[in-house]
Amino acid sequence: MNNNTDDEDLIRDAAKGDNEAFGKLYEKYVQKIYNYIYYRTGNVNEAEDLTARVFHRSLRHIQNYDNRGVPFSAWLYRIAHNLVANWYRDRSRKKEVILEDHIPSQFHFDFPESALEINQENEKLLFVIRKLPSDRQQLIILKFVDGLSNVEIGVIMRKSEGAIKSLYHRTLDSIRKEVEKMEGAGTKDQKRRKR
Amino acid sequence: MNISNIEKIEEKLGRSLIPIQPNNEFVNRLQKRLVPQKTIQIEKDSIRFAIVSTFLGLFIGVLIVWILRRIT
Repeated sequence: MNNNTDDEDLIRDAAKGDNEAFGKLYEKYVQKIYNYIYYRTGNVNEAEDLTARVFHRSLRHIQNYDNRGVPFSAWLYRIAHNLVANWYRDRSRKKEVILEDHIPSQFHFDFPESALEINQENEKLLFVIRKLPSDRQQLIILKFVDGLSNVEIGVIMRKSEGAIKSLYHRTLDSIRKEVEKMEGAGTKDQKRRKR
Repeated sequence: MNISNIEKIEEKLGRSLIPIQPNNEFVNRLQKRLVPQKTIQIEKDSIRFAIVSTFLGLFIGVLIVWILRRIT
């Protein structure tokens, strides 16, 4: 979230209709937004679709962007977060319809890691993260994938640094418990097979 | 809270959640949609056309005057 002054100039120009200025903002943030959405959805196609929507929406509303201590990147992350939340809501509705029709569905992960069978541990961890509440997923992804500080995450999530710190520790603890539970279940299965 | 286990989880998260590179084709395609490229129009060299049309106009004018004189 550095170079805020550079961003301010670009935003001002983009709001006046300067396409090149918006193009520069796009180049600067596309990978971060894509990563955030990719790890939230676990699907390349959805990540591309939602990333496109984030930037189309930001282009349409850039005149409404008001820099009051909220960096442009935080504004983009908030748009991305809202779109991902809508995506989850729509997805759960579709699931309900499927259940009513008694059609079996399988939860599918589209991570390249799983496709290449690189690491079972990674898959397990990503599965656990996906089960977390939305705000905890957001925190973990912003922290580890985008490498943001607690202060920066606090701006995006509209929380104090202390609140983020506390939420972070609670999240790590719940991930630990969940991983241990899964590992425990795994070892029990192995023992049963041996018998 | 077991600190060493928490640190292990942090390490695991650091290894698993790696930034990835979006498909370049997708990035470029989206950029083109968001930021339409300025179309550069090259002006055609119209000097030759202007000279030819001027001389042609003069020739036709002189021809009309000559024909009219011959008729009258």
